[in-house]
Amino acid sequence: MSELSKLYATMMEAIYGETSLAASYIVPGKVLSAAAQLGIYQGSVKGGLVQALGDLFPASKGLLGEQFFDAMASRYVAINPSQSASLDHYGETFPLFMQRFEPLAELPYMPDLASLEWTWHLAFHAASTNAISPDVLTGVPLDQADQLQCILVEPIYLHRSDYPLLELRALGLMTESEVDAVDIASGGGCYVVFRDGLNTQMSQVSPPLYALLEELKKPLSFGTICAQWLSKHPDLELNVYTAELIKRSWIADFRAINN
Amino acid sequence: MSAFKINPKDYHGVGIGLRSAHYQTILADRPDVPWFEALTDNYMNDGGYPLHYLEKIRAHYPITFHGVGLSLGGVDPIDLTYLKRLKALRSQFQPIHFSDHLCWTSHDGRHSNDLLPMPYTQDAVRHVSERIDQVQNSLGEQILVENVSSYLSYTMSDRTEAEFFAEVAQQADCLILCDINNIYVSAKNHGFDALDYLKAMPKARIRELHLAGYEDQGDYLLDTHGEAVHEPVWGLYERALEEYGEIPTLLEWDTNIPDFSVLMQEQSRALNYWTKKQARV
Repeated sequence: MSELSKLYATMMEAIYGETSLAASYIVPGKVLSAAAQLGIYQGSVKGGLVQALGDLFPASKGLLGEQFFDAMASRYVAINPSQSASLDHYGETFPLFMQRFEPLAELPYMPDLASLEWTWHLAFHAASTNAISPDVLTGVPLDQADQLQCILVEPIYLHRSDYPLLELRALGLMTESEVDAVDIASGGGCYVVFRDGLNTQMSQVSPPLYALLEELKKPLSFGTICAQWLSKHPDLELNVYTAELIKRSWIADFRAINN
Repeated sequence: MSAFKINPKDYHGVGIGLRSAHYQTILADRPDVPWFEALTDNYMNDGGYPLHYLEKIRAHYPITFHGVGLSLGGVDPIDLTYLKRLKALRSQFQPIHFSDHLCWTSHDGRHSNDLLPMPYTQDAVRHVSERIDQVQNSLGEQILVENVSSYLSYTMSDRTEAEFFAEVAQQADCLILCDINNIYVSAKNHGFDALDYLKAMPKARIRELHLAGYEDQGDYLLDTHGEAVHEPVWGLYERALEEYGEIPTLLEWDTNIPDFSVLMQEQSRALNYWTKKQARV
């Protein structure tokens, strides 16, 4: 290992953990000791990552309060160093960490909310596709549904939760003044995170529509998906739900399946 | 390595760092700013709001690209995925040039997302020069490399930062982005003379200057880019214009971002130093 490599390994270890070894590489200052100089970088790196998590999970931070959130985020940062040059990639496993974080045991809805926030972040930065135009839709040979694949617009993410995530998010962000409390016992729902142009949005949908969206994410023919959905929802009209998908601009295309 | 092709009319005066908080104001008011600097790391995603607004703003203004993620001084291999994305961005937006920092940011897959100083040794000169050369060859043009502010120095260093910088620029045949605020912050933190640093830099390679604000932490100065440019930095800037000539200058403000009008006031002040210099000639 080169001298440079040894130095960087020791410094990175110190930045995310102990200072003792790295201090021997650093010239003590007149005012600041080697450990204190290193501490500036430790504070800057860890502080930057904690702040990044706060920016990525603003509703979670709002609900938990800055002090609790930052303390929890610091624990996460200590065991999850950044693995990307871009802070946009940092925090994917934060919801899972929250799930296992003992002090959050009394707040079981928090990991679900954080997971929803992560997908909001992904949708915000994703490339997007347009919804199918009415003209193209009219020409789709739906009588050949077994030979067609229905393509959803991008981005579109699905979430199912036992908790009222939209109300919790609104409370965390305090964007809706009428939301001053959330009844967790009111139950959860099926949520879709999507983009309308540049605007990232979240919407609660009915369980049958959600089930149809789940099926449409699979690489199956539209005919097969319709048949499977109908077998699970024999009392419902499929047309009602496909019409809603079109109305919400969530279908991008129907493509012929290449056999 | 060929020099990048700069159209002088696109690249002069005092530009401003582009931040998302100002997208709407810039598009609505079309302020008199000769060019904006886009932080490439903010536009590495596939789509969405930031890229949309960068496209809109690029339609009206020249831009430069400035990055923090290449880890030029690091020992992990240059991130080719990052470089590929950078090239695609460059092809899409046609910036005047690309710059990154003379520092390291990652090691063995772990990233600091911060600009960490290098040791100033002969080995480090050779090492970082080769990596800058690799990036320049990949991009097909010279890049600008910027000095970082620092809070520590290494026992293994055997030359000054300015000497190190000059050797690297020579060996890598790269250009220099000289951050005046960073020089001042490091000079105060390490107790060297900022003017000596200015004079030791290879003048012919300097293509851009940066100005920003620091935070006085009592025992040291912290480079936060979160305040107006401080008086001693303005003083050093004036000396830099005397030393280097009228070099395109960028105003950066990254945290506690104020109304755009505040940045325009800072730009106006920077331009006053140009006017003063011209009056003396």
